[in-house]
Amino acid sequence: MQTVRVEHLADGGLAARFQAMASPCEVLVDGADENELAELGLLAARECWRIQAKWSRYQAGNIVDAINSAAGQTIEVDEETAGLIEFAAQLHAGSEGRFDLTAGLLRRVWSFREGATVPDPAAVEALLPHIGWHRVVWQAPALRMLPGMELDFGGVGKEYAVDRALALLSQATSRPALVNLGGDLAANRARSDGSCWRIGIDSGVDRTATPLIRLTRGAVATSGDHHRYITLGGRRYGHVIDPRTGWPPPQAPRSVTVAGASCSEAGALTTIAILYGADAGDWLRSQQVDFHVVT
Amino acid sequence: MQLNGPQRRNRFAAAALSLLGASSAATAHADDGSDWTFDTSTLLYAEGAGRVKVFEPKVNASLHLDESRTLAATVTVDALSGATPNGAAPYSKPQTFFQPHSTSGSSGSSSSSGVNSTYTTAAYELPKDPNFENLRGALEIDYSFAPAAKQHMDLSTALSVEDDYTSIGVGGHWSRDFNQGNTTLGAGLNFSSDFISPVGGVNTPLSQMVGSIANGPSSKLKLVQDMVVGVTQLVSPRSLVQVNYSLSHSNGYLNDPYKILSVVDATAAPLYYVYESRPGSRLKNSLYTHYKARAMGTDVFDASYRYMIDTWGIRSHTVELSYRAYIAGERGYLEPHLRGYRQSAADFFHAALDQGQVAGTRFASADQRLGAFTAYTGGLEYGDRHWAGHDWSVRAEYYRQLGKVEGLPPVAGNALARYDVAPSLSAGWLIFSLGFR
Amino acid sequence: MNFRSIAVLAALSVLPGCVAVKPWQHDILARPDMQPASNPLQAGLEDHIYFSKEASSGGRGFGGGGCGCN
Repeated sequence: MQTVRVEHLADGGLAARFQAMASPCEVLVDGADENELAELGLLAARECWRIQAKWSRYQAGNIVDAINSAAGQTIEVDEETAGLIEFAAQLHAGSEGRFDLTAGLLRRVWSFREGATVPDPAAVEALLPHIGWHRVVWQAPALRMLPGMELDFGGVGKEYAVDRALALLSQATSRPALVNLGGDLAANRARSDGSCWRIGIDSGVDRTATPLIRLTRGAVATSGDHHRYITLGGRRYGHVIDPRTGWPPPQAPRSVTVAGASCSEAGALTTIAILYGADAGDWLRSQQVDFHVVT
Repeated sequence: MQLNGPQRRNRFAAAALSLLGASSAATAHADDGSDWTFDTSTLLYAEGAGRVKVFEPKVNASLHLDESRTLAATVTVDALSGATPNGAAPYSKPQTFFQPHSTSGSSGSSSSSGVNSTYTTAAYELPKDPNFENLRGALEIDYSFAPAAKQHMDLSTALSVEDDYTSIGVGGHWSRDFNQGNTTLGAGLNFSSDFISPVGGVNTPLSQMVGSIANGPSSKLKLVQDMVVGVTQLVSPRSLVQVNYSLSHSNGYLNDPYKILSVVDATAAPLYYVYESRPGSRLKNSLYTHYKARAMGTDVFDASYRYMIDTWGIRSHTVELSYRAYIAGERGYLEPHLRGYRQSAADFFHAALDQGQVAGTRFASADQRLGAFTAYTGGLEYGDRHWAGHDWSVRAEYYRQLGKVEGLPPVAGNALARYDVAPSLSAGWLIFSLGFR
Repeated sequence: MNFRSIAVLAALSVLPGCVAVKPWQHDILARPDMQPASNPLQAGLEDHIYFSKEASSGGRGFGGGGCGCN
């Protein structure tokens, strides 16, 4: 149901709300009235829906479908897709292979629905030969994968949509704006009166304090397990899986929040940090970013 | 959430920037408090043989107005006490000197008669003024900003106040990035005016020490102009080289008002003492090269060399090496440090003068800092980056200066050779640093 | 002035290949511990010690001073 509603907030402000990428989304534009916000909200929402449709793995006929059904053939991708793939390749190189566009295949064996259990190690093992960016031949704009491999843009699409939607808003209005897609958000500048955007971060972990962040400009992304985990034999299996082993990293933090210049950057850092397991804090420190880790 | 500083970048930020094009924000600005950062370093310094002790805390508060503009204030307090060499040569009998003091103030702990007070040093000992005490307060205000893209400008003003010395200065430093940020060129200027009003007044250079009250005016002026040009070049993704050339010109009253020289006879016996006399201008040229590189993952290797030559005839070489080894997942580090220094003596350096020399010379100083010596420093620093984003470090250093005997007067050269006219100096210090971000 | 030593040292900065460092490779060099002076307050305190004990000063930046200690 693709609609945008303008709603009144508790502090008297307005928010344009819509659903995209299975998340509740909102757009705040400082100083805009209901009509203006409805228009700007629709502009942001359409961009999010466009991105969702373009790289959804469930949509037949899109570029992801074409790549994943290429069966070993070389596919030439459009410029925007090439940009996203190039970005993901940088993340792969900068994370010692932890971030991997081809890891989505592991969803076949890992489920975090109610009552799900840990998969059969043999089933995980059987998927590994079809996973790994090093098995992909990428020479922009040409991409060739081994038959049976799949690309999944789920790890970068949402954050990219936040950045794109904010960029469109910045072009359409001179008013300060903030885009929030299910807790991953970005703002283009301080509010008109010079104050910052106050954001409560839901780490997705029960009984932990909700950090309040004052954001002037830039982005904040959070990766929390939001009850998506399995407990077996006293061990906790989080929902972020290491493509190199097919298993969640041991002692992964339950939630990681990172501030970055862009949501794409912040989101990538949260995901990679979780894949560093117990070393998440140390790794984030070495990246010189502001972060918050819940273990 | 940790507080952030400006101009932070990681490879993911840069990769995201190329994904999104130029329309995205250049830097993040999120925090959980204010835009302030605080840094403090405190020095505890002590020299061997009961010489100088220093306690010097320094505090910096920086207000990050936005990603390129920072306003910072640094406050320094510098408390010094102890004995300091007065320049006279040692002798086989006790020597008595006048202690400088102002007409209105009371004398020190030494004996006094009328307006004069004195102190006496033991036989064979290097004469030192035992009552050296000084308290200094300094304030520096810095404003840095980006006048244009890829440019950085830093303007500063400084004030330093002591009982007998006041210095005010202004400076500016500009730099610009070229070649995709691989090269940075910089240039800076600094001017300072120093007002010297010695305890007891200013003594005429080379005049005889006859009492605690000076025979000259109450204050003097010294002007210093500094210039620096430099280039920083990234030579690989993991290393950089910096080369700075600097020129420092000072003129006016360049003496140490409390330093004297012994005038000796052929047996090295002191006849009387005269105040030192340095030329009224000095031009220093320095070339500084610095290499810094990542090693063994994230460790940092640092090496620098400086060559200095001035119009007083001093040449010096300084070599510094350090290696920062990260431990415990980059949470802490250990950094050993070595420094070697060698300087030649100023043309007018004399360990002491004979009577013939006093008559024929315009400039003379027995200040050990203008003599020839070699010095070594060795030390170790431990630093810790706390989980909450604050960091602290402690640094311990040991310094040893080995004097070289030079500038003996022709008449008393052999006689003075019996004494330790160029004694070695040992000093040790600790620096505690703490940063709040 | 010793011009030969200047020439040799200046050449140091251009000799080792000077590979173009790509913008995203600057991350390693952007860290505070890779800045020419990683702890300016501490460097200032040590510069002050050496300024008061030796005839040379400066190099990294200006020569310190502003005090009666030399």
